[in-house]
Amino acid sequence: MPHRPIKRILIANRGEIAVRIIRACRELGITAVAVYSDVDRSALHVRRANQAVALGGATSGESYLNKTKLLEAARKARVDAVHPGYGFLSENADFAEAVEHAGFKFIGPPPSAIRTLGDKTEARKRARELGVPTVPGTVEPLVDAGQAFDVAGAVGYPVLLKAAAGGGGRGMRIVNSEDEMPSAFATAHSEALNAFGDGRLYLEKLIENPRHVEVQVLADSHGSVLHLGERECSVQRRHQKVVEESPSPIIDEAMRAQMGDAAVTLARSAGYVNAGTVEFIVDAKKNFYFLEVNTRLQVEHPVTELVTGIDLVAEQIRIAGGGRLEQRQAEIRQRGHAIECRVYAEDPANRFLPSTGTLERYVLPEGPRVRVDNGYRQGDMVNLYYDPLLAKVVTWGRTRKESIAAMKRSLAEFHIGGVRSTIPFCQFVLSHGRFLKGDYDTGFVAMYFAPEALYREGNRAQVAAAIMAARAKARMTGVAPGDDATFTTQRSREWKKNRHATLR
Amino acid sequence: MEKEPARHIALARNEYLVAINGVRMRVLLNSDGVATVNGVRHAYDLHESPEGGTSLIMDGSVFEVAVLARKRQRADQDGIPDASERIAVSVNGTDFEAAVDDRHSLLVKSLMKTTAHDARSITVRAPMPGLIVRIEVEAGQAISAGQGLLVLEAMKMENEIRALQAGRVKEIFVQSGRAVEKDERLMLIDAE
Repeated sequence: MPHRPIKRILIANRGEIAVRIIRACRELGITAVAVYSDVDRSALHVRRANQAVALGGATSGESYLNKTKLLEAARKARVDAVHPGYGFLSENADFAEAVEHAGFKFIGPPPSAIRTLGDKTEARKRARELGVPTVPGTVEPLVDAGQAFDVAGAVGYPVLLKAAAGGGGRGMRIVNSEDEMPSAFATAHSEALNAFGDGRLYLEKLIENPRHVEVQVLADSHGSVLHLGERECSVQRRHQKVVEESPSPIIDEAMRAQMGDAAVTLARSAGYVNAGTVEFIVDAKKNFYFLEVNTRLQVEHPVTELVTGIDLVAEQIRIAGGGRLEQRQAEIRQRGHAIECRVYAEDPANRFLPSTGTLERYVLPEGPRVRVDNGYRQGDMVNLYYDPLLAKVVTWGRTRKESIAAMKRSLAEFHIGGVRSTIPFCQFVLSHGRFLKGDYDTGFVAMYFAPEALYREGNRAQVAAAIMAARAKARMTGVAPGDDATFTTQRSREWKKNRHATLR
Repeated sequence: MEKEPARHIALARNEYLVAINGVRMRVLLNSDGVATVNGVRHAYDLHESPEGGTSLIMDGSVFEVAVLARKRQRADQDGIPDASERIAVSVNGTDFEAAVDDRHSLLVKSLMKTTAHDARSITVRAPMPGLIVRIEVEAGQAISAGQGLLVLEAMKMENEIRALQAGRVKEIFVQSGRAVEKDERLMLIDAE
C-alpha cells in the first residue's frame, strides 16, 4: 500500500478534543482543518484551526454525525487524512471504511478491527477464546426481553444490560430484579438505538462496585503492539468517568504486566493498528475481567501522556502515515503520577443534570504541573446539542500526593459563572479520605457523595455573595449604598421637581 | 425553605433580605465600602476588571466575584409569581443563586399571600431542558411511587422522570416529541 505523507488533516469533531488534535497537527507541521455546525461558528476549535469548513445544521445528526457532509468537507479541503476524535463517528466502522474508500487515511484502527473489537459481544467471544477472563453472561446479543429474563435468572440478579455498539454509559441499565426488566430492557434498547443506530443489547452478571481500570494500547502497521500502562477510572457518575488517574493506586508491577499482556494479546489477535484502550473491571480481590475495547482515543488519554511522555495523538498520526513505533515495551515507564478532572456543564447538586446557558465567567487555571484541554471561551453558549464536556484539567506530580495538591489548587483557580459545572464535585472527591487513600471503587459516588457536601466555601463566600446581590438589587432600583429613607424622600422630591422642569 | 412570611420585618431603604442556599441574611449597605450582614460589619473594596470579573477584598480576604445576567423569574407556586429578585452571583467560580427582597418586594409579597395552595396536587416539572421522548402514563391513571412517568432526552441521554409518591395523574401538559424548557410544567399529579 503506497503511503502518501499526511500533510493535511480534517478533524471530524468539536470541543476540547478537536482543539487537542489541532494542537498536535500544528506541532507536527500539519495543516489542521476544522469542521463546524452553524452554532459552532465561533467555537474555540474553529479559531484554533488553520482552515475550517462549514457543515451547517445544529444537531449532531445534521453536522458532526453526518458522514456525507464530512466526506464532502474532506474532499473540499483536499485533506490526506481524517481524525475522528472520540464520540461521534470515532467507533463507526462504516465511516472509517467510507473515509478509506474516498481515498483518505482514517486516523484510527482498520474498519475490520473496529468491527471485531468494537462490537462488545464479538470482543467478549474473542477474549474468552484467548483465555482473557470475562464476566459471566451472554456471548450473543439478546434476541428479546424474554431471553434477558432467562439469562438473568441463570447468572443471578443483579445484572447489567449493555448496548452492543456503544459506550459512555448510553444504553446501559442495571437490573436488580425481574420486575425491573421490562422497563429497563425497553429504555436501554431505545437509548442504544438513538445513540448508536443499533439497539442490540447483551447481558452480564453485575460485579458490584468493581474498580474500573483500563490499559492504553498503541499498535503500528508493522506488527508492533505496545501497552502504555493503566488508567484508574473508578470515580464515575451514571457509569461515566469524572476523575481518572495513572498509575492506579492498587495495581502493582506484576498485575500491570498481566493486564498489559491481556490487552496486547487481544489487540494483536484482531490485527489492531493505532491507539486503543482495553477496559477491565477489577473486583475486591483484585481479579480482573475484560470489559470492552474502545477502538479510539479516550477522553482521559492525557494522564497516560503525562506519565509516559508519549504524545498519543502525534503517535496516532504517525502510525496512520505508516510510521513505526520507536519504543519497545521495556522502555515504557510510568513516571510520577497524573490525575485528570473532567469539567462538565452539569449540576452536581441536581443529579448531574445538564446545565445550559452562557459562560459569563470562564477563567482557566494556569501555572506549574497543570495542563488544560479546553474547548470553550468566556461568553460562549453551552447548548443542548452536544456532549456537555467543557474542559479537562490534568495535573502531574512526582507522587500522587503532589498531583492531587496541584489539582486542588488548579480547580480553585478555575472559575465558571453562569453555568453549573462538575468542579465542586471534583473538589469533593479530591478532599475525600477514601480517595486520598486510593481506597475507592465505582460505588464511590453512590456511597459517599451527597449534594449537601458541595458548596462548602464557608460563610465568607456566602456573605460576599449576599453583599454583591444586595448591591445589584440596589443598583436596579436606583438606591445608592448609604441611602436611608429620609435622604431618599428628599431626593425623590427633588427628582420630581427636576422632571417637571425638564418636561416644561 | 422560608416558611414564615417576611412581612413583619421592617427594612430600611438600603437594607435587603438575601436568601442563598436556604440561609437568610439581612444585608444593610451602610456605605460604598461597608455592609452589615446579620449585624456584623464588613469592610470591603471592589475593583472591576474590563474583562468582566470583579476583585473583591472583604475584611482582608480576596475574592473573584461577578454578578451574572439575571435569571428568568420563575413562578414560585403555580400561578403565583415570586416577587423576590433572583440574582446570580459568582464567587470564586461558584454560582450563588440569591433571592433578594427589599421593602417594596416584601410588601408585594405580603399582599399576594392568597388562599392556601392545594398541597395534594403536585406539579411535575422538567428538571432540565430537553425533548419528550415518550409519555408512559395516561391522564386518570393511578400511579405508584417510583413509577416512570415520562422519558426526557437531553444531550443524548434518556432520563426517566419518575413519580416521587403514589397518586393519580390529573393532567398531562405535554406530548411526546415536544421540546420543553427547564422547569416547564409536565404533569399534575393528585397525591394519595
